[in-house]
Amino acid sequence: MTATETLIEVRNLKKYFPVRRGFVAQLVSREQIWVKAVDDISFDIRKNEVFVLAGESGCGKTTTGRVILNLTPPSDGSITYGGIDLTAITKQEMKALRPKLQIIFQDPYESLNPRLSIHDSIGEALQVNQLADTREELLQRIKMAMEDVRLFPPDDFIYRYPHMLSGGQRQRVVIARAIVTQPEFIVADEPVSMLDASIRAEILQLLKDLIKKYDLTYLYITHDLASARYIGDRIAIMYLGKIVEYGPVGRVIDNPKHQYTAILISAVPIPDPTLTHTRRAPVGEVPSPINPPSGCRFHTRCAYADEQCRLEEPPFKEVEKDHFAACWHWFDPKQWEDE
Amino acid sequence: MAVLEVNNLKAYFFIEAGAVKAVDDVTFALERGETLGLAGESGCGKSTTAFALLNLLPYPGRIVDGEVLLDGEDLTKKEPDEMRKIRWDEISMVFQGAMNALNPVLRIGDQIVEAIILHENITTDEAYRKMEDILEVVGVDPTRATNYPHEFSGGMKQRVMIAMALVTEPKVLIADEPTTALDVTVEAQVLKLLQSLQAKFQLSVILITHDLATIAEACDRVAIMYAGQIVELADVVSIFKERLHPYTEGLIRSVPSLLGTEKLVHIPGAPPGLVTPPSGCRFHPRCPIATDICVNQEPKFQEIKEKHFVACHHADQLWGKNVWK
Repeated sequence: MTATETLIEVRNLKKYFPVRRGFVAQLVSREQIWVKAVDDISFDIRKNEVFVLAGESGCGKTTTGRVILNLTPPSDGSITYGGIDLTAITKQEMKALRPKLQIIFQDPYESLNPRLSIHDSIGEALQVNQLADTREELLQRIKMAMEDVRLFPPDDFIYRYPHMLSGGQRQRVVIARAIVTQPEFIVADEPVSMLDASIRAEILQLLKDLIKKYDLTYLYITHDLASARYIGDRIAIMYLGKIVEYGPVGRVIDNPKHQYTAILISAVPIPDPTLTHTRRAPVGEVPSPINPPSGCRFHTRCAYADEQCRLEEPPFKEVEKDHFAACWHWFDPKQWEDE
Repeated sequence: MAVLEVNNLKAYFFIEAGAVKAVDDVTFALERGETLGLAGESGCGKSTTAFALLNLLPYPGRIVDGEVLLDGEDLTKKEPDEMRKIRWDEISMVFQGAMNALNPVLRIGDQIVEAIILHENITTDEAYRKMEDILEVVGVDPTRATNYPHEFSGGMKQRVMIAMALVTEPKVLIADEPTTALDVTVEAQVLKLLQSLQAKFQLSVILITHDLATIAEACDRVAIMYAGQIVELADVVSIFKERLHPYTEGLIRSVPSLLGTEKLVHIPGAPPGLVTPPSGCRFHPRCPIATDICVNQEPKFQEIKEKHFVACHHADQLWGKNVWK
């Protein structure tokens, strides 16, 4: 197994949602209107890496995560997992793959069934997939997963219900539920954003530790670039359904090349009051994904946009090793100097 | 000069199991024109403090002791009618998720005008003019006054809420997690707006948030709360660079920064229940340097360095040390 083996290949992925319209509106025009939540994105996720998908709300990052797991079918494009095209297989074949592809949701207060004990919440995945033959084996594997997420001692927790646990403990249960089927790939959708800061670090560290132990690969979806930097290996920045820049986390954050990435990074607050840094924000608001702007999607809010940006979609270029961006006017820190 | 002084404030919730001591002996002062950050984990009492300052505690909560002096007048002693006048006129608020606090079936302009007319003795025409002015100030096009809340984005709704809070030109603004539900780019815009308005209106702000990075960006001074009490209070640079309480230390070291990959610490355990909080120092069950005295004796909240207050028995040993390994 080499370090750069690809686990997930996403090619030209699109996900459009139909807009439901009223009866009269349908009479006036037959044309179907679509929300282009994800519009033609491609990327690879390498084995054992944490690939971060970051962007503001509504940019399509969560939809991408759901489509990759085939929880909702794509409108176009392909997703290949270990050589298998997930868009082309039958429901039965998909079901057999499910234990290998898991998801961790954002809100541990909503993603656990309040009427199931911890034992049943974690065990359900094993039972549904018939991964445990006997009751003892089931219990054994549940306890193992609980130990791996450091819910010590498992006997104290296993017959409790979610309301008896703190937020951090609940998120551990959610993680235990994901790893109990021995998955190869996990989509972690904002797994720490609902938790207190003092607990976040612990959960992030736990997710990191599980990579080695379970031979895992993550797609980490977040709006929080600071946590992305902490846990991520590579990052893709999304804006309005498109990836605008991707590469190793450190390089993208320290040396952003797309104008949107640069401004997004400048807007992140820094927990150090002695640093003078101007938080910037793009002018105006995110346009509607129903009728996204032509050319570069960011041109309506970009201070450096010109005719070319309005007309032509910028192609991806490798700006440094492994670091790609799609912008007609590379960001240069000097452009902000005389402000 | 302090515009708001809070002395030994106690606000409890009386439930079947006993009194939840959500705010237990909190003392601080808010200087004119400054931004004071109030930070801590969920359940530490920061929002309850805000509600208590406004005398707005929901049942079964009530202020059991202490005073809240606004320009020398004790708000805890005010009758509900007097208090209603003071709220908004003198001390205003923007609540958590405030953008959902707008009435969905009223045009936003009418909602702002309603607030003006209730609090100021002016004609409807004048109130409408005032409403348009304040919208302009917060960066919302006054022609959108006839729009309904659902026609605005989250950031724009938050601007409208800020406009509404400031239209009566209060002395004090309490902002409880004003930007928590917003994207960073929008948050940056809203905080920038707050700062510019602060200079314009000579406004004093209490900014309540769990997000320490936002505190570092926006505040002059910071109070760190734990289990219903303020454990450390100092200017923002001292809090981030020369903090003296192990809890502050752990909290700050648990926040990842965009700039670095420093190892993060985590504080073991969870905040205690507040019906019967731990004896002595309330942080002792989670503290890495707790000793017998911490279990038995409550530390005094005292000025250890100039204008740097801390409640810890071991504060003097902590200077420049990382107790979280």
